[in-house]
Amino acid sequence: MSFAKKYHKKLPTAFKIQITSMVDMFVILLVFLIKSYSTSPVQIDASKDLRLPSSISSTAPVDVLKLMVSKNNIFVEGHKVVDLNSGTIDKKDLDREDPNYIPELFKALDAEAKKAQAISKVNDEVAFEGKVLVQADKDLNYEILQKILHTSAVAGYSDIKIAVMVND
Amino acid sequence: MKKQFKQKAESHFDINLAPMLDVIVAIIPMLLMSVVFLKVNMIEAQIPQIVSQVMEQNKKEPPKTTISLLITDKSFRFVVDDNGKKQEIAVNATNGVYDFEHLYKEAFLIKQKYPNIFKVEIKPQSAVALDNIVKVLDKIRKAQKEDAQFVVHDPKTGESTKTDLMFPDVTFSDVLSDSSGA
Repeated sequence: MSFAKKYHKKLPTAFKIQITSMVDMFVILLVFLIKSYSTSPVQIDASKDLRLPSSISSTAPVDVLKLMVSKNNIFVEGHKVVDLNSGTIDKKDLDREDPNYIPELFKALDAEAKKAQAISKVNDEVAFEGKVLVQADKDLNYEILQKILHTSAVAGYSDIKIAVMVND
Repeated sequence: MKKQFKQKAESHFDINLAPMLDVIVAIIPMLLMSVVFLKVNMIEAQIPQIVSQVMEQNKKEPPKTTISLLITDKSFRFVVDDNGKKQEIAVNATNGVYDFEHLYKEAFLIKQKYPNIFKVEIKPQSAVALDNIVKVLDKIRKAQKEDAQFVVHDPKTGESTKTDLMFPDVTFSDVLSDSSGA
């Protein structure tokens, strides 16, 4: 009799995980993530090659053609078009007659411009305005920027917007 | 009686946190997908109607006064061309560091003299870093002091308004120029 009583006592009734502290942690995480939530069309991944200049500007970025210039590459809409070497461009990537003209960049931008113009012909809501959002590393010299802006302007993208980081 | 009281004291209420945890676990991956650690903005200006009308007017009929800003690795130089009469204002670096406050003061004075001019042509030298160009734009685009306002007149309607914008319309004037100097 005493054995049965002892045995009955040892039997586990129900196993419960203590989840209160886990919920606490998740709630803190949730608050942080909601604070960092963004629906902005422009998102920058942290990279040592691309650190945007900081500014007091408070204008939200618009969804236009994105031209990214890091220290080592030039990207058009996420596709790499030209390699850079620590912010300088190789002479072979430049036009022989016009050293401010980057043929490969022009090809990529021209293709995007033609695509946008073709869309605007069939869709009245879309208009090609020649806007480009330049996301460039803050340490890049104006020498390379001038070449990029020059090529953009030749390809029809003359309304240039410079992406900046919020200066808190 | 004593036994009954003891039993009641030991009983406690447990909230069932499992459904809450389920919801949080479902929300977190969604938020992780859209989280941003770097907030990006863009340099552009919000402009009052009369001010924008004057700016549009300036685009159609370029004003006789033009302002350009040359940025070298050691200094800034404003060149104000007032109907052919040129005036140069230099802002030199102090101890090799750009004097942005002095630049702002000079831009403010120029704006007070020419309140209807909103455009500045900037000409950075090849060695100037983008970071410094953006700092210059920050200084000349808008008045920093809250009470600093400029009276802008619309010549067509005769209306006037106050604005804290100085030179929001910035163009890189040498982008399409001959590249021999670059």
